[in-house]
Amino acid sequence: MIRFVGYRLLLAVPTIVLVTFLVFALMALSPADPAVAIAGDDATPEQLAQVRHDLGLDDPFLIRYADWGWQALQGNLGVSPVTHQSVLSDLQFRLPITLSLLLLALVFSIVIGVLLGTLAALNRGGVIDWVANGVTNLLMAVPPFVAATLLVLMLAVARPLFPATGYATVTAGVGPYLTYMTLPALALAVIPAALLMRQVRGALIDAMEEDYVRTARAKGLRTWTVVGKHAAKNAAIPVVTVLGLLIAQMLGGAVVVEKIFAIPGLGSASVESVLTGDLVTLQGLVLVVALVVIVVNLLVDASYGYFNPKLRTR
Amino acid sequence: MTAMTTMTERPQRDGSRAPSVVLRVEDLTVEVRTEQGTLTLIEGVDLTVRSDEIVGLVGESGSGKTVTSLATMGLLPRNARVSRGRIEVAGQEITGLPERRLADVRGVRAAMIFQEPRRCLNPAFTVGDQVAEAIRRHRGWSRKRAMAHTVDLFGLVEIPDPERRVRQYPHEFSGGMCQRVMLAMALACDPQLLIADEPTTALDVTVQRQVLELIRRLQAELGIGVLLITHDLGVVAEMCDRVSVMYAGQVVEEADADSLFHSPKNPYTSALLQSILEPTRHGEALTYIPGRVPPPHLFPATCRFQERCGFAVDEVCGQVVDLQPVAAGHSSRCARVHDLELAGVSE
Amino acid sequence: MPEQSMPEQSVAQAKTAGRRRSWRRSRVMRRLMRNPAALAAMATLVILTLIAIFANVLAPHDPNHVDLQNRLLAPGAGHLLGTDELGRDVLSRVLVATRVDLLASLQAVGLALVVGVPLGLLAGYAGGVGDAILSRIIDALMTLPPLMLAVVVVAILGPGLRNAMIAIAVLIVPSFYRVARGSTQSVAGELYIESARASGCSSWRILWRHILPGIAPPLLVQISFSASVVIVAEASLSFLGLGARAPQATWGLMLQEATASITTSSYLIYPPIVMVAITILAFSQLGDGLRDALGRQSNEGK
Repeated sequence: MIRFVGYRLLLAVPTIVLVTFLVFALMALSPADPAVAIAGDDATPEQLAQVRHDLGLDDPFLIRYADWGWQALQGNLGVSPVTHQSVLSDLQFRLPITLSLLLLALVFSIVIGVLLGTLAALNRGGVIDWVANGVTNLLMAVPPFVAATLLVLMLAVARPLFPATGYATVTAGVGPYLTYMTLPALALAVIPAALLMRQVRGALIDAMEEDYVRTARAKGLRTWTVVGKHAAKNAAIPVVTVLGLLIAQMLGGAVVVEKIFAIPGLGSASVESVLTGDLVTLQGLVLVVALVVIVVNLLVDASYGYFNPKLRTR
Repeated sequence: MTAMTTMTERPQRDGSRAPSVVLRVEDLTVEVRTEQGTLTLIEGVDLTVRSDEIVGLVGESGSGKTVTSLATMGLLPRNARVSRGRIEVAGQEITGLPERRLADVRGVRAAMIFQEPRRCLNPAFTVGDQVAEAIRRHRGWSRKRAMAHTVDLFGLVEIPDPERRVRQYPHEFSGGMCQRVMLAMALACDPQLLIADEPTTALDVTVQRQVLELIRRLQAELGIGVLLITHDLGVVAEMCDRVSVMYAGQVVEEADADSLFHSPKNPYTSALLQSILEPTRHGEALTYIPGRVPPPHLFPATCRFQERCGFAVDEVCGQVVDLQPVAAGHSSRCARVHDLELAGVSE
Repeated sequence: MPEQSMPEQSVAQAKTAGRRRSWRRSRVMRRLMRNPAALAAMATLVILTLIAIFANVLAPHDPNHVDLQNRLLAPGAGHLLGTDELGRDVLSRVLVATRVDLLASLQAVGLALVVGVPLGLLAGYAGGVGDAILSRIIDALMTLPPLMLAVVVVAILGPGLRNAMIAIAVLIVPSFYRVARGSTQSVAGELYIESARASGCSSWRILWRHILPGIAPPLLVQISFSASVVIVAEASLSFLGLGARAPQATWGLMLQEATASITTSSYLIYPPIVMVAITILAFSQLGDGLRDALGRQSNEGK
């Protein structure tokens, strides 16, 4: 297991290097000049040159990337030219907020998706299946910014059950956490829940047709043991795979949802840094987000070993 | 009766050990709803299995033998149902039982093993867990006690090194070993009836023989009735006391194995026997029977074998035929049963 | 097999392959026609296209005409869907926004196709080092969550509708690349391609005549799904202020403007929401229908 994780982490290194390099390269092509952002619009050409030199902007591109990478390895992601704050400490503040949001969104989508998917699979072709499918198709057409707007209107404006803005992390306690994060998490969870429902339904239907499910029934197991144990563990692999993709997608959705609910997470950071031209923060952000996605993929891969013992012995 | 040498700790089911009827199927008719309408898969099937015998259920694919066995376990697919007749397993009527009650019968009164044993075991759990699970479900034993009994059962079905093997996963087992695990699982709660649906078809020839011998030994030692479903008359000859031959959803001949092999009373049985005598002369298994079993929506109302039968005479055969006794314990479904001299297997 | 017989045989095989495809295509159409959801989706898309084309004719008012006297009018006669914060007619704006959104999506999908498909074709057909490097880059791009990637590209190019469209094209290039590469690999392995190659067809000819038609079905499915992704991404970026800028009318921007007065005039949020939802639904249902109608072969690229 440790070897497996170590090996996978090693494989992730080139991906991280490549992502950050691509973004770095693209930013180098950007017409926006960070020196202008720092020195101000009315700076003299001499001042600009000085700032460029101080920032190392007149070094060759590869040297600059290598320098950035070396600093990043030591935990130094630079200083934002806009806020003059350490990018790392800024992201350290934002990361738990976004993770808290994702966690609740994940819980919502799993509960809704697995429940509906299982019901639909067991009632295949029946009324519940039909209704669940219809609802899912509709939900797929509700992107996070639409869901967020509707939820705010219904549950914060028309009926003030939840605050329309604000945030709380998991560590703030269950009460505040649920109060502030329920609406944004629901908004994020709509499409993942629908996709998960489809996946659960399909995987469970496939698993239920396997011979070992017939065996499980033949030895007299109760229906819920047959479904919840024998079919579920085998259906889990495709579902977990999709779950991994969905978490990455939710991170993208967080960009909009955090903005709507004024949550100072990674998503709002990306929008703010674009609007202010803060490429240093954006570069650090890309690194952190790529790391989160890679860790999620790692967890997904590691879970395969649990669900499929065949993979374990290798 | 053979002494129960390996099973002294097992509770005896009935002290007298007089053979009892463990499966009684009467007039069983199964329908399936399809897009083309309701089809009758099997019709009017009668079967009896006693605790001291192995009964063979023989037929080509499509003859309805698997449907019969699934109906017996209450395992029919959702779109199929028993529309007529009754099934009694070890004295318990099971037709019309709700799923919950059926689940109590399965594994306890009757157990089943299938073709392709590797696919019948769940790849995600240890084999020991899958066997112990049945015991825990029906007897309510602790995990530890059920696992200990599983180790004993592995010994009973001759799996070497059972303490280690129970902790392994199905992919670490060969096909033959998987079938032994299935057998252990089937026997876990001392059923009175074992249904074996093509248990050795997917296995190598040598392994096939070992598994069949094991089934025969277990039948004799434990006194369980066995319904052996197969398309292989060789297996039937080796294993069975009595045989029912199915064709196109009906039983066409029923007899003890000796009579059936030596003096078949149905042209279909006779043709089957001839085809195994020289199985590969023309590169086909059934050289004596041209064509194939008709699909259920094309079952004729009259004799269903007529089209492929070498003895068919339109004036006689174009009518509904019933299964009729021809000798003691021997019946056949053929309009010409009394004027045909059919070839069997010579001594 | 004697060498000389190869050309005739390959011609014959190519012909049967062609016949098989056209036969398959008619069957696909028939299957699609029997699928009510796909039919409804197609009808919706036709109507949306017509709205987009005739938006200016259909709009009862000038969509950008500011009328501060008639701000935030509730839906009713005169203004069927009401007026917004600046007194502009919402119906007219939503109609014009349909044109802007569909045109922008068309551009994004077109751009992504032009970039992604040739790269995928070449990578799948040629293989080797180029394929390995390209695929690594594409994988790396896909590590970033979709919307995040778009935001990064906008950061580099600067905000605005045109740049947002390029960003979104970058977003969906990987999926086109993968479909094209995957199905090229599977098609390239088929007998009729091998024999076409053996009979001396040039690589370009094989790519154009044999492989491109083979990958068209899965690509069609991917285009349909991508179109709904594009709609969402465009609306999201406009909503965030990174895409279209006022006074342009797009669904995302309209919704963003509507949220400002959500407490008093909540009716403003519905027109853009309904349009976005209908369009996404139409594209994804069409995608589902196409995938089902095309059957197994469209899964090859995934």
